[in-house]
Amino acid sequence: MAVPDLIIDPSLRYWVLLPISLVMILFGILRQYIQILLNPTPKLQPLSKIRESEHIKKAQLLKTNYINLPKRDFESRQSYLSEKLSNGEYLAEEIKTDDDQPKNPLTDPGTSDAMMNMAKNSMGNFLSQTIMMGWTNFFFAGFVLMKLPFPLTLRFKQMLQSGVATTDLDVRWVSSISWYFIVTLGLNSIYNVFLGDGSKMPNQMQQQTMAPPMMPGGPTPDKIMNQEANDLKIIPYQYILDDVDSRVLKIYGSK
Amino acid sequence: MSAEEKLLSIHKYGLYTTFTPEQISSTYLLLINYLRSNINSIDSIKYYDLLELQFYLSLLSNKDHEAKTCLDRIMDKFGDGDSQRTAILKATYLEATAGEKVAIEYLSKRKSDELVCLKKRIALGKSKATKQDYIKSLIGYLNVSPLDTEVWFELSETYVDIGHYEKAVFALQEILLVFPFAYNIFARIGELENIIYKKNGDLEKLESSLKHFLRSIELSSNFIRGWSGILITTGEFKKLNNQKPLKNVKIDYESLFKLSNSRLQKIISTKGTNKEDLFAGERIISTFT
Repeated sequence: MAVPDLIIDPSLRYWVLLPISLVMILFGILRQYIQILLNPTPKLQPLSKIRESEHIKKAQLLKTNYINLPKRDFESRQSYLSEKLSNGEYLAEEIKTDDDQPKNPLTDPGTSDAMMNMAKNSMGNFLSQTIMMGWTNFFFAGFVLMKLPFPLTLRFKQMLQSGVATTDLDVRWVSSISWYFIVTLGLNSIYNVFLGDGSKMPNQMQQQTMAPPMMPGGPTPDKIMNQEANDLKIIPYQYILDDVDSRVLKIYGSK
Repeated sequence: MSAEEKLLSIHKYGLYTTFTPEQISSTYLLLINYLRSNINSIDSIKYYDLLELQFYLSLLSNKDHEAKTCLDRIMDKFGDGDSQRTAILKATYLEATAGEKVAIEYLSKRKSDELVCLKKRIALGKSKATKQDYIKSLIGYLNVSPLDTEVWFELSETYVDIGHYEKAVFALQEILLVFPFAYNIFARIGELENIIYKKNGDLEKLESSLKHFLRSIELSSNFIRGWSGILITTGEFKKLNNQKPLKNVKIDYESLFKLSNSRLQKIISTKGTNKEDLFAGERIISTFT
């Protein structure tokens, strides 16, 4: 059965369609600035932490680049570094020997900071979405806003007419809630125009599916250090300068 | 390479610190013109990087007022409360205008955990401290951050100043552990070991010196310093052999001598490197062959 064509009150355009779009744009900009304000300032790493990680890295570098050192110099570094690493001189914190299990990430103060930041971020996103949707729903629930100028298949009904429970309505009519969703997904390029720099406004979709930042955990520094110290002890020694003279003569000599 | 990439790489690698005055002024002009014509299109991270570069270039070319303008712009945006990078800029400005003492005072008021500021403070104290104290503070820094090759090199040069060549070589070896292909460091070790040989006549050191030079030109074929080092050390071997035949030297120094001589001449005739090195190469050939 054919539905007689609807006639839409033109004030719907001025009082519903435009306000929803405008409020969403302004809200997005506001959220952007709030996010900048909430961004945590990068924390200063204490010197002992830097010292710890740099010494671990140093041991790893010695392991790969030792070929540059003469035998005597290599051996002195090998024994020095492996001793210092295994007796824990470079550790930032005292070793706790009582438990072998990895720390509970929820009680570790270092981790909870990172989790807190993540939670804050996703909460902010979640809240702003909820508020905006609540607002649209509260004022404009069940409105039919506009008619698309092209025909669509029935499958789009769910997408375009959520909140309007009429089974027979032509798919081309768009409800207010659906307009809200469409605008949410399509606003990024408009933000780019307003906020200038595309890199500052991360895509909302991306933000939601982004992998969580790397969580601390894994082996503790003292375990890594012990491992490195053991590795250092068993390096078979080689020296890159041993036959450099014949190599050089081979490379340049024939000319 | 576009002007922007060139300027950004100069900023990123700190190349301006080793520039000649002509290079500084030409880079400065390029930067000013670039900023003037692209001020609207440049993105803000790059803009502040370039502003930092302009700050250093202005200070180096004695334009203190302009440096102050750059500094103020950066400070207005970032402040110096949390950022070590801006603190370094401010300290550098104070050092250039009000003297090292003021700069050290400014830095010592900051948090003690700031590694970069600590480094700057040590560098500022260089002229006042005795060599021993300076070395002590450098070692203290390296104990916290053992991968900072800049500081290792500074330590090495300070040891050279007071004649501790073995320790200087040790410091340079630390750089080789971080950058295994640093051919200039190989050549520098060669030079230092040559000095040690000159002091105590240890033939092993001469051989090791030659080998380090050889490694440096194995890594970089037009490296005049390396080839010159080979020429000088093999010449030394020849001289020793003439006095008293050398028995347990396995290196073929005769052919290496000839090779380095011909390579040097080739580099010089094809102008394969920069002017100063070419000039030095010519002088070395004329004195040692």
